[in-house]
Amino acid sequence: MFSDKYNSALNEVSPDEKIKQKILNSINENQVKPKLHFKRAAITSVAVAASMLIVITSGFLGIKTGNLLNAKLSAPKNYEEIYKAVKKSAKSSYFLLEDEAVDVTVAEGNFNMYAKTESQTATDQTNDDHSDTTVQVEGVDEADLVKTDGKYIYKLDSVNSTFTIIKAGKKPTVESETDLTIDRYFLYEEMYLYENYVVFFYDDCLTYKNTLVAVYNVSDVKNPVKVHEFIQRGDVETTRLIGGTFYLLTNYGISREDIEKDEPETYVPTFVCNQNKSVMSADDILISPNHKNAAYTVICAYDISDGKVISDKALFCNTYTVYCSKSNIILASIAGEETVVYRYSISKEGKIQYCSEGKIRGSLLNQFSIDEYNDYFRFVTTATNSQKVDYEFTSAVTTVTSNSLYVLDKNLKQVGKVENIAPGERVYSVRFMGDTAYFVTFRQIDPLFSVDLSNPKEPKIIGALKIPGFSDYLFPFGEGKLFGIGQDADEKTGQVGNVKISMFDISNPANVTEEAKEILFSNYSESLFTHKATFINKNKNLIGFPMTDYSYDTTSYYMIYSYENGKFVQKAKVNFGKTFENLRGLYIGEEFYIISDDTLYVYNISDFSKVAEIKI
Amino acid sequence: MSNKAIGTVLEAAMPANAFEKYANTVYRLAFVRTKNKADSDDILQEVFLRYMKVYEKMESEEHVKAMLLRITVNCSNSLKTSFWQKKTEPLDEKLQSEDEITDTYVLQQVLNLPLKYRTVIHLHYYCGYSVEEIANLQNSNPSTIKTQLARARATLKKTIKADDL
Repeated sequence: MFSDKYNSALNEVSPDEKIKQKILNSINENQVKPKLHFKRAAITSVAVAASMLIVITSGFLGIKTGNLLNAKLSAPKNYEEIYKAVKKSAKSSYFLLEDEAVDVTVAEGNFNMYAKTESQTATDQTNDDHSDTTVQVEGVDEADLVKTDGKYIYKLDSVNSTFTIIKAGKKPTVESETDLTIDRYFLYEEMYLYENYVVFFYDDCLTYKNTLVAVYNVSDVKNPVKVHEFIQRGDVETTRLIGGTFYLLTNYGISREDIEKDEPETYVPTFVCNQNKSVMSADDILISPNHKNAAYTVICAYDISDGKVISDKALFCNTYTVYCSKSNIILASIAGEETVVYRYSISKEGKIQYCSEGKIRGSLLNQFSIDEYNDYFRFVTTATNSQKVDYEFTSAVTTVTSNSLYVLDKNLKQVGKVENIAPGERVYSVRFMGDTAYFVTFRQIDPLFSVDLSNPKEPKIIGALKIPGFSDYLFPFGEGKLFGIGQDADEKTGQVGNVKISMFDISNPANVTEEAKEILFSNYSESLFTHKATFINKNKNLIGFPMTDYSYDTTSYYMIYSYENGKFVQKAKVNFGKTFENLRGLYIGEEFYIISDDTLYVYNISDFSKVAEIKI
Repeated sequence: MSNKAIGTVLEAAMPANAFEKYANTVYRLAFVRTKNKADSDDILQEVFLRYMKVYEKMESEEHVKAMLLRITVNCSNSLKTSFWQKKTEPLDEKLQSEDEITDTYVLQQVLNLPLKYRTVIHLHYYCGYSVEEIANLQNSNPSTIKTQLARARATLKKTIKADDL
């Protein structure tokens, strides 16, 4: 048993007795005799776990112009109404540290306000032919460890809080290594690149209630300079970058002890923009009756180059999955066995506006379970159903999972659905491609379903391919092909095995076949957990992903395959030694780069001959 | 659940009592996070210093433990420790072959995990917290914690065969 051994080993780890005694002595000296004091409010049993349904008695309030009226959500007129809603649902926190108050303070740093982006310096070798982060929706960038603009490679090492800029090419060089450390903040492992700006974000470790965003200007690659800083309440749910607008979604939870009636900033989201603090206006807040505790989902749009907040909104409701297209943000929230979805529109300028609310049965696996197409929103969910099973002399109720696909219109009203797909299984991966949706369910056998969505009101399952194992992520690969990466499984026992890559022929969605597959040498790859770890490009005919082998000594590799004549052909297997993860592949022009926390390899993209290797 | 009357301080929350009971617990979490005994000693001291400021507010035994662990996580984020070094303090035993999965080997595998993962493994398997409780402790999303725990387990499974991973 792991637990026993782990506990046993730790029980041997103890502080030195002398040190213990020293601390105990100092405690006894300083320990204040307990004194009587009175709490602000009477202490009653803390309500444990029960869902609280907030009834907003302020009546049926119209929502601001342009938005639809909705009986379930309410738009508070002022802070007092918000206060009441928050107070009612706020639970006691275990974590109030009085002297480290929930105050938004700005971290120190050197700021230089740059007016606009500066043009690139003379010796321009920017190559427009380069890869970008593997994202869900084209035009909607997602944060990642590595970014490139075709001339430089930007790499983040979050363990050491350093940011490295490497000049790409056959003889790559490290141009700078910047320390991004901010006291009491914890750097996230991903960033954005937009023109001459790089965006980083951090968790506030002290209060766990703030997210700090730092924008650096990198026009001088030898000397990146911080130019803007934002602090938003809550901790990161997700982020996106569309054009020069950075969207930050956070979950902001409020504990009972934090709330002061006279101080709106204790129960309303706040944000700090280059040292200017604002409290969100009641106009920008909506209260949903669906929440277990007091928490907001806060969405802000920031202009990266100007350093301004373009738009800010908050929904008093927890979110568990977010989807973002170029024009809409969908927030999904759990409501018992259903999911409530909210649509916020986003304009080209970055203005966010609430639009509508809808409901679907079941829960969503991740962002890929949601898709927007031609003003329709499609969802694939897994739901738990209670089923009564009759036996000879008795009956029993069992819970069975089943899967569904829903099509909602732009008002999030259901127009079409297919339910009870593959009972007993759950969704493992989803990919929507225009009029067709593909998704994988798994228990032992992996049906890859194809759904025809050409008529939104009548979605139809047109194919189900049964194969052992499952795919965690599906990627389109040119015309008529779908690439999947996941794991193999034993057909009889269902025991999950090694990493498996598959190429599906989807030229006829009603008759999908697994044209090729390859089972790898171990069962762990970062690509099983995030789509960003997979490099896939049909034009270059290359697929890249990391693999980790734990059989003797932990060793990680980066695998490169191309797809030729219906077969996977291994082009490279690069050994990165003892590194756990954070491998990424990208290309610029003729070179393919593979980068880890401390090494950069450069290969020729045609024959994968090694061109260079540097330590970074 | 509150089990004290208004206006008094919980017996179990008194710093000396809390120290007797939880010094080792705090130390071990600090050790798993920093991988360094010297830093863990410093953190042990710092944690109880901070705890002295809030002990009067403790409402129950569970509250005391959770508060101490929360402070420990905070302190072991601090840049004042040598925490940012990747070096692990070598444990006394040499690495065993994979046939002999000793306690030390298991601990070593956990310490090899990245910070976030070994923290959730520790809070789950040593402190006995559930996903929800761990999320609460770090003011994180339960789904984030679930993912971290799943990934950590998946990684550990490669070198440790165990039913409870």
